[in-house]
Amino acid sequence: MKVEIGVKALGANERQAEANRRRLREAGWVAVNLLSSPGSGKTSLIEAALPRLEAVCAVAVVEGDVETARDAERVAAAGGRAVQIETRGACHLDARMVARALDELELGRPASGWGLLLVENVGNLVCPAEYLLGEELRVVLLSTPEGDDKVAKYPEVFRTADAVVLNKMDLAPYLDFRVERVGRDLAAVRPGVPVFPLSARSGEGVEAWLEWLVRNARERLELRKSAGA
Amino acid sequence: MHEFGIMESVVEVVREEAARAGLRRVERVAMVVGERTAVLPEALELAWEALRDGEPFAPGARLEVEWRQAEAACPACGLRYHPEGGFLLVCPGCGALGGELLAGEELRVASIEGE
Repeated sequence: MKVEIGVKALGANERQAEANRRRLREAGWVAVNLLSSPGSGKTSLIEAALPRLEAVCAVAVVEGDVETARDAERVAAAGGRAVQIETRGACHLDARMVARALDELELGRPASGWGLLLVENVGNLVCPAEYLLGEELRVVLLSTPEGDDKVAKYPEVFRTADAVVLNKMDLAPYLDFRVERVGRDLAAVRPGVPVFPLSARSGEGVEAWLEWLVRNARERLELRKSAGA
Repeated sequence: MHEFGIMESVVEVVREEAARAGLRRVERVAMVVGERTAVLPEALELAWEALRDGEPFAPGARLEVEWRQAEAACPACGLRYHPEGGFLLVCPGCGALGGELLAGEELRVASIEGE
């Protein structure tokens, strides 16, 4: 007997991602999926963002790594609420792992009315792109030492980005990194995506990204609320 | 190597669908995979052989993949074309960048067969 099914190969993950999104939304939270290569500065950016974000909303962090809880410890040391997912070999986070992290976080409705859940994915520009986690926004980081050709080389992850952060701009004068080359490739891969050159280390440019993040997170929350979905 | 994660999910989908259809022995699984999913045939086959173990899979159960070519539509001149040379969409007619991908991102379990 032949049975036609025609379901998405990653359908189980997408269903779990939707369940995560609904669960977060009902408690007033918006998840942001942060993607990049290892070492591009996702954790540093979270550390730089924490004190400023906490002035406007509740913040919690999910850290994804193959091994160690070092990133969650860094975020906790910076005063943040964080849980670590150790994937034990897997090269990406999936929606089920995030669901377990949500169980651990027990996010209630924040006193400030809403909250941001920053999910730092496993450092990898390939596989994480395919796995929805329940996020409303995707932010892809690229740091200047990685080179300005990465959008063309790893387009899939950039094709799903709601914003692109160019980190370590303070190093740009010592490197052959050209923001305009990144912009040209993005015009083909993800036309119109906002780009934020910044330095998590010096703090320069971080404010503009945070302003975008807060505005868009709030918009998504309002949109969902009014759609009743 | 994202093929393993994809195949884990495929195997789960097949288990669910086989149970729903009352199939106890799955002998054949058909997938549709677009060329822009960056799925490698050999790696997908390897993952299939490693993961299609035990119930409800028949020993030697086969995976058949229909590969789909990519097709893009130019935002400027409307030309439909097969995007060449990597993932950047560049219209071969007018040179415009970007545009809509009409096909090539499929990643589906199309059917299962057994008894």
